[in-house]
This record gives sequence, C-alpha cells and structure tokens, in this order.
Amino acid sequence: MAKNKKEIPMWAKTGHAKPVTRRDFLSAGIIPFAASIAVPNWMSLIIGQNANAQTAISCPLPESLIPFVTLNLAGGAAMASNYVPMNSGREPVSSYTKLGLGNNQVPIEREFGNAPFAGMNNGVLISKMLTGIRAQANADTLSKTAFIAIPCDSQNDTSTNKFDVSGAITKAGLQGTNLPNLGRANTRSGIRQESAIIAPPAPLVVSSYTALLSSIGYSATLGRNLNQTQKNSLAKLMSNLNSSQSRKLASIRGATGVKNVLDCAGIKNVDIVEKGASIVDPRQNTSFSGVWGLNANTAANNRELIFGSMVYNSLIGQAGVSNLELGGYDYHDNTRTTGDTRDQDAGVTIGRVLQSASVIGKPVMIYVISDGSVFSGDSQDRNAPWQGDRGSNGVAYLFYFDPNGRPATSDYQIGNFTDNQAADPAFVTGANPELAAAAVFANWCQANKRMALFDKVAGRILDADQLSKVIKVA
Amino acid sequence: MKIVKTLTLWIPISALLVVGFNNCGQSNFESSLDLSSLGIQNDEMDSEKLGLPYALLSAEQTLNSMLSVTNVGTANTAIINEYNTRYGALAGGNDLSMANSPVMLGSTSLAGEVCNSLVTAEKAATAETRNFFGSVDFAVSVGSITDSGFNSSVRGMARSFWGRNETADELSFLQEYKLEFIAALTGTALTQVASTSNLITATCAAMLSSLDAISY
Repeated sequence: MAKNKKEIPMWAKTGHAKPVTRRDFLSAGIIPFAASIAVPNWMSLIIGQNANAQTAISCPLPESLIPFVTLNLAGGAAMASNYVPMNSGREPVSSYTKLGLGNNQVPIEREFGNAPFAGMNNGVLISKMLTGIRAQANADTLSKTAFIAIPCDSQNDTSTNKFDVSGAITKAGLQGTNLPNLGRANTRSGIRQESAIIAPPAPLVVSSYTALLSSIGYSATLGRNLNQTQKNSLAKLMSNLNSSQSRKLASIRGATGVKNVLDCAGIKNVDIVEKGASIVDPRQNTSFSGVWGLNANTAANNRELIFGSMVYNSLIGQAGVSNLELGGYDYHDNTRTTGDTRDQDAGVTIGRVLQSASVIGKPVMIYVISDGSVFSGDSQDRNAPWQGDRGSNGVAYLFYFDPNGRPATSDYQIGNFTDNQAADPAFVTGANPELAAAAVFANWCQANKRMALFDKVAGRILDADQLSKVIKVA
Repeated sequence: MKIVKTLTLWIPISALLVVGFNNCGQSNFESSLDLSSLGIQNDEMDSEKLGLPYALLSAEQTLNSMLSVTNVGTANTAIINEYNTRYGALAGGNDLSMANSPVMLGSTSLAGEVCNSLVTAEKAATAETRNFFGSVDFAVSVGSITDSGFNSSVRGMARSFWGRNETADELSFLQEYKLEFIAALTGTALTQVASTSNLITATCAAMLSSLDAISY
C-alpha cells in the first residue's frame, strides 16, 4: 500500500511544492535551523534532557468512554454468509454462490434496524450467528443495538492481520480503574491479531477466572501468612521500592512515559490490594450472572465465567478493553455443520455481551473479527458446505448497544462487496485490516462525540474525505 | 590548493545545512521513531523500540532469575503451582512498559513462594552456614529481630538480588515495612515465632520482585 519512501522527495512529503526560490528555502527550514545554531539544542548535552522532568507522578485518570469488547473468531469465519454483504448501491451483488448462499435472491432477515442477514430457508434461519444472538439478547436489547459491517480482505489463518484496536482505544483514554486490558492469548493484543495504529499496553491474560482473581492480590504463601494490613503495607512497600528504582529512567531521554507506567502500576496496586479480590467477581450481580449462567459452583476454567468476568469488568469500568477469542473457525471441512455450530456459538457470545450491557445499563461496542474467511463450491445451495480459505470475502462486524435506545447510524455497511463476491479493494478499508480497524476506532470516537481523540491517537491514518466515508455512527 | 581550502570550508557547512533543513520534516534532534507517515504523535512507550538500556524479564526469565539469585536452584511444587497460576499475568516479553499492576503483583506472589523455599532451607541450616539470614533468629518472635540483624539480611539480599548495596531510601522503606508489619500483629500472633519467618519471607519477596530484580 505505502509507496517506497525513497521514491518520494522530502519537499513532496511535506505537502509543499518543490522549493525553487530563496523564500521557499527559507520556509523549508533555514530560519529554525539558524535559530538552532544560535540557541542550540546542544545545550541539552550540558544541562540534560530532563531538566523539566516531573517530580510528581501523574497517573492517567480513566475517562468516561464507551466500553469496548473485541471478539476474535480465530481461523477465518464465514462472516459474509451470516450478514449478507451488499454492493455500493446497497443492493445484492450478482451472486452469492461462493459464499454458501446460492444466487442473489438470498432470503433476507433484517435486524438491528435494517441490517441484512441471511434469512429463512425451509423454515430455518440461515445465519447461525443471528440465531445465537437472538437466543441470548432479548428483543428490547436488540431494539437498542445498531450494526455496521466492514467488508475487508484479510490474510487467512494467521495472527498477523492488524485488526486489534485496543491500543488506540486505550490511548484515547479508556482505561480500567483497577485492571488493565484483558485478553485471552499471550500476545501483545491478548488475541491472535496484531495491533492497528498503536500497540496497547500489556493486557492481563485471563487463562482462567483464577488468573483474574489472583491478579489483584497476593496469593499462596503471602496470601496465607499475611493479614490484610500487612498485605496493604507490602503493596505500599513495592510501590515505594519500584518508584525509587525507576528513578534511573528519569535521566534517559524518552523514558518518562515508561517510568510513569511503572510508578502508576505500583500506586494502583496499593488501592487494589486494599479493596480485595471480590471486586472482580461478576457473580455479585445476579442479573449479570443469569446472562452467562453463572453460579457459585461454576468452575474457574469455565468459558462463560472467564468471558463473563472479562465483560463485567470492562462494562463497569474496572478493566479497559476486553479482547475475547473463540477458536475453531478454520472450519472448512466440506460440511456446513461444523461452521454453523461455531457461528451459532459466536452469536451466543455476542448476544450475551449485548445482554450484559443491557442488564448493567451501560453502552458497549462489540467488534467481531476473524483472520480470512471461507468459500463454498460454486453452488446454488443456500447451505453449501465450506471447502477452503478465502480471505477476500472477509467481513468484520461492529455492534453498538445504547441502553437509551438504538444509536442512529447513516448506513449498515462501510465499503462494499463486488460481483466477484469479495470486498471491494478500491474502497479505503476494503483490503487493509489496519484501515478497517481505524474506521472502527473512528466510529467509536464519533459515538463518544470525541472525534478529537481520533486526531490525537490516529493522526492522518484516514484523511477527512476517507473519514466522511467510513463514519456511520451519527 | 584553493579547491582543497574551499572544500574544507564547504563540506562541513553543507552537512550542517542538510541536517538543518527540517522545518516540516522530522527534527533530527527528536526521537528517531518514524510514525510521521501516519501523523501519529510520537509518545512511544515500548522500551525496546525506545532503545532504553533496560528490559523486563519475561515470565520464564523471572522464575529462572529468582531461583538463581536466591540459590534455591530447583522449583518445588508450590513454586511451580504459583508460577502456573500467575503465568498469564507475568510479562510476555521484555518491554519494560509491560510491567503493569498484575505483573507486579504476580511477581511478588511468585517471589513469595521462592522466598518461602529459601527461608525454609536457611532455617534448617546453622546461622553460620546461611547465605542470607545468618543474623536472624527464627526461634524467637518478630519483635526480637534487631535492626542490625534485619539490615544485615537486607544487605545480603540487595547484593544478590540487585547486584549492589541497598540505597538509604530503600533501607528506609524496608525498615518502615518491618515496623508496620509488627504493628499489624495482634494477640498471640505477636509472640509466635512464625511471624519472624513471615516478615523475612515478605521482605525477601518484596526485594526479589522489585524493579531492579525483575529487569536487567
């Protein structure tokens, strides 16, 4: 996508015409250069770079922003065969025979306002994701949810697609009061997707509920042998020791931010240890427990307890972004059965997240992604089996629930499909997961009525014209 | 000869001019990170990308380091269990900014198990043959631990865990913790000898999981 920088002259990169006059050269930097000689930055070599380094720690306060949950369907899910992607005129493309849906007269089931999903065939809903969603989210919740699809070509069966937006959203200010971002895989994003725009801070990998529970306190010997006051003192000691030992970073250029991260982690732990572990338990909310089917005896490695705990802590602001992941979506086994089962499972999870937000009374954005997609044989069958990988017909989903009513949107799709039954690569987000992720981030900023955050975090990754095409949240 | 003199004058000036023409471009006096093509503000936090001369120990490195600097050597079942429980919270890489709250709490809890093993081993040895706690009498209650005995243990741990002596600030923090630890004991706990082991174990865990022990 990007041109080789060596091919672009410096003056072109700055957006100016080629400098030819004395005035052009002056405006290109001779004056600041002269100033830098007269009052050189070399003074910093003498006085140091951190003469103004903060002596007091300024830990960022969490902003009041819409909670964000990502669901990664690892393996390449048939997203384009649950939601029915449309062309640029929002009409069906000429055929859906490679998408396992037959000709272009696919029965449509409208949901989330007007979004088209694969509808009834012989009395059964083709879209199993929608089936799963409807099984968990009630009519009131669905009536308060908006939906946006983002067709995007992505690489099959890989963790290298830059779909993850947790870094951008964290940078924009969505941070947990007691926990960092939560993830499921031991990667920087917490899922098997790479970060778009900016890498997130390290997430807590929630391999089991115990991992979440124990992450906010001392366990084993220290947990058993120290009383609560002694634990509080230990947290304070750790904060003091680490703050003292991180001072060496203050003298290093560019390390102030890292020092702050370390110092703030210690300060936060003092507060966390005092509060105790029970604050992360979703089972203290009966309605929430009901959504996920949890009770006191639910095993710590139960998936619904793990997902429910992550979502609960994100929704109440205790954690930042929650990145959930479901495996088994590389399901092209020449049947439709495996894929349908997985799709319905994904729908169940999406429905539970939506219903969770409803019972807690918080808005939420759910971003559903995968790595690549699947194709069927060129078939008129509306339930044709999956035969192989086909990333060109990838689609990401964005759900936006607001307890006050369905958020207004100008469209249900960003970009379009072509008659090749694939995402249109000519559209800005059609062939670039990172730009698709940027579009999602832009819509999240817009939903928060804080577009300045997009400029601050993502800069010019999308220009004004592109933003006007990808922002669908009113 | 004139050409040589001219070149001697103009080559350095030309070099300075090239360096100085940066009005709209990235300043040569700023960080070397190039995010300008995306228009992203340059406030990178990744210590590896920043080129900081310090790095965090990964989960595996943390465990190995703790076992090594304490001379515990081999992880017992309790250590392995705690490591497995905390694995997801411990650092997945070497970027120093990954040291978030769970990494720090997890490291301290893991260190608690390693130190428990260390204290158990040292208690079984005679005072003269101990590596760290020769100045501590584990047969008396915590109130009987002298300042000099406590400080001597701190010195031994600092040299082994941090590769240096403790600073005055660090010693002050640790002594303050000792006082708070004892003040938090009530009733029979104040006179139980186990409280001595608990204090030494907690102090050891704090030092073994502090930034200088889990980074390099």
